[in-house]
Amino acid sequence: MAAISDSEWLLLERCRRGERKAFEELVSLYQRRVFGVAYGIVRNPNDALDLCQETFLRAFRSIGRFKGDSRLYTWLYRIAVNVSLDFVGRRKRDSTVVFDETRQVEPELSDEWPSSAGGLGPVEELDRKELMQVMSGALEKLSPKHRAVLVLREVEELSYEEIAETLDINVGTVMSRLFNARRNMQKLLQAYMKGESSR
Amino acid sequence: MTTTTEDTRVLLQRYRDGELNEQQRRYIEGLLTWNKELAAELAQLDAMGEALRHDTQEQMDAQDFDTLGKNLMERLQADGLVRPPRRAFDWLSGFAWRPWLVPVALAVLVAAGLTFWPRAVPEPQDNGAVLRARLGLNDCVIEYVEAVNSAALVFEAKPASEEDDTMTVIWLFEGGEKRDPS
Repeated sequence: MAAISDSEWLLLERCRRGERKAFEELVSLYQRRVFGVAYGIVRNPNDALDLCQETFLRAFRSIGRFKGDSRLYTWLYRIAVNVSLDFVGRRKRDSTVVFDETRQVEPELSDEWPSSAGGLGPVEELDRKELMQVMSGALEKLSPKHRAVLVLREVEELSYEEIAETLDINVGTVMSRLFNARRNMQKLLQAYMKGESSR
Repeated sequence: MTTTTEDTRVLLQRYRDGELNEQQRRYIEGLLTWNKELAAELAQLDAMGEALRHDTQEQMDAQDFDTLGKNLMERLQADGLVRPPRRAFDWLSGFAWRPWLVPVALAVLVAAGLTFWPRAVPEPQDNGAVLRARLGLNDCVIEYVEAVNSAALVFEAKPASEEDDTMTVIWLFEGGEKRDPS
């Protein structure tokens, strides 16, 4: 497990002393990345911005308890993921959308792996703008935990070990969760393509 | 026909994520040279990852992080977690409304001006060429200059010629009057 760097430690120390400039530096360093994690999970930019603020507030309130046994960004990401998953959980309770985390594929999809033989699969056939829309729709159908692991890997480019540390799970779980998240994405995209072609 | 096994797909994802050892990496690279299905799957994964990054980046660029930072600092300040910002002239703000401030400030400025304004008598630095020109001592070398008080200046004038070793000490009083103390 990677420990905090010297420069991060100094910055934290200044924050602990209540130095305004240090807080501003910390926020400026990580605000975009924390927003990216929150957005990847909740899929709504306005909510993500609120959650980004909530993440920093929680971080600063508990800054005295941070021992420095992990990198600063994994600590912040952990808070961001927890805050975002809590938010999605609250939203879920208020709506009828049901995420089934135990099931590896979406109920309406087949268990067969989407075929990409004989040329590139459906993803490459879409233009970029369309792909974004399709991706966005597919991501919203994934479970929040699958979205979390995807965003940490694909957007933040964390290693499996860093993801495990951030999500407080073991590396094996990271691998299986990531594998299933990607597989579900591919299936959702293929289902979308089939729906489009049948119109 | 699907020829790629689940295990190979797991390895492919780990290959893409840079999480394979050397031997596994070479194995997958070997497969990718002939297995078109696997190569296509890798391209799909790349396209999905790229789309996800691009979408997040676009959303990041659209956000007003300045407002976020400002709101955050206000809340942290309200919680007492950060010290309020200090401005250079904050201590003056308490005086700004007082009616006596302007005349007092002006009086202080005038007093300071009277105290520190340069005197009419030349300062020690005002030596050499200026003194020679003023006193008509064209053949002298000014060796020593000292302001005694605000009214007089004392200096030594030595003849320019080396044979002549006499030294003249001259007092110069305000108003330009020259006096040789000897």
